[in-house]
Amino acid sequence: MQLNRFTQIVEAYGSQPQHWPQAERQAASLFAEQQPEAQRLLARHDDLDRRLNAATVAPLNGLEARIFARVIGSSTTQSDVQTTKSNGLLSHFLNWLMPPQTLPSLLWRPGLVAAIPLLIGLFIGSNLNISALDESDSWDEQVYLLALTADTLETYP
Amino acid sequence: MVEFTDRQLIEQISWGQKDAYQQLLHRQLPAVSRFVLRMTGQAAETEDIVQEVFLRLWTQADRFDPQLAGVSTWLHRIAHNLCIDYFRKHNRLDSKAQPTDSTGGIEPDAVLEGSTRRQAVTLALSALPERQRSAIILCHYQELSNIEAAMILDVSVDALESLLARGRRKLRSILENPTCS
Repeated sequence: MQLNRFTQIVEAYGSQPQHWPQAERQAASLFAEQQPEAQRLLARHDDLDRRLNAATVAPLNGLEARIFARVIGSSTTQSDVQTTKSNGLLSHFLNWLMPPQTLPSLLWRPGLVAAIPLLIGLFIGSNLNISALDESDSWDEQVYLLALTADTLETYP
Repeated sequence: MVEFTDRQLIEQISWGQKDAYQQLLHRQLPAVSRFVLRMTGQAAETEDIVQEVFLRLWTQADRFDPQLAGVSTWLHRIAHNLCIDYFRKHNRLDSKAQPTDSTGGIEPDAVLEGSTRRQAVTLALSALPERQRSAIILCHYQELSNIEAAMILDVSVDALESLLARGRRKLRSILENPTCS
């Protein structure tokens, strides 16, 4: 260790050996013990380090709980977003279907949902009847035409 | 409870393990929040930045490369970059912050000498250019190695030592003659 490098270390990292670069700490400590110039240099920097050490900061109360609630509560990983999305659709539908607080909504919404199969059945049933009527109409027409043909043959042999 | 290393925990976090996240948050939060509080000097801004750091830990844990840095270094780097973004956004780069007292309250007129000295150091730190301030905080308070601090600031170790030496000279000058700050 040379005085030049020791001076650079103290000017950069201060007078306390625990802040010195680990690779040079032992050599610098030995140099400081042996060289009066090094000790004078340390004394000049000691006051600033003591002042820096005195400037403590208080922890922010409750920050850990707030961060955990925000980050985990929002579930922002990709898979969590997808899970939340599908859960959200189901819970939205259930909340809409049976809202916990309002009695009128509690009655008419399930009724409406129960009526959906009835409406679908009526729609399908009416379509089936129409096609059945169409089929009978076509048979009637064919019988009528056959009858016309027989009359025609008798009238005009 | 099983004690995992930081690297094991961050791997578990990348799989979505909430217990691992809680454990690493508990372990790393004090150091990261102290760093940001010293950088900004403001409790409310510190909380916003620290929340963002740990949100990124949850959402970007799979980006952590154990070959490049330790978990603490990685989190400090994120925190440092967020502080820089914050200063740029608020046009406060290299400007003087008005730090709150380290105890979070307003000092009465009849302050104790120790408290006054502490405030003087906090104010002097806030008067430093941001990179010098960051270098001193990382090396002196966060007790990171010079290699880790250089990595966080994205500079060489020689450049870090230059930042530290200039910062300490300016600090001493401000503390000896506060009116020149």
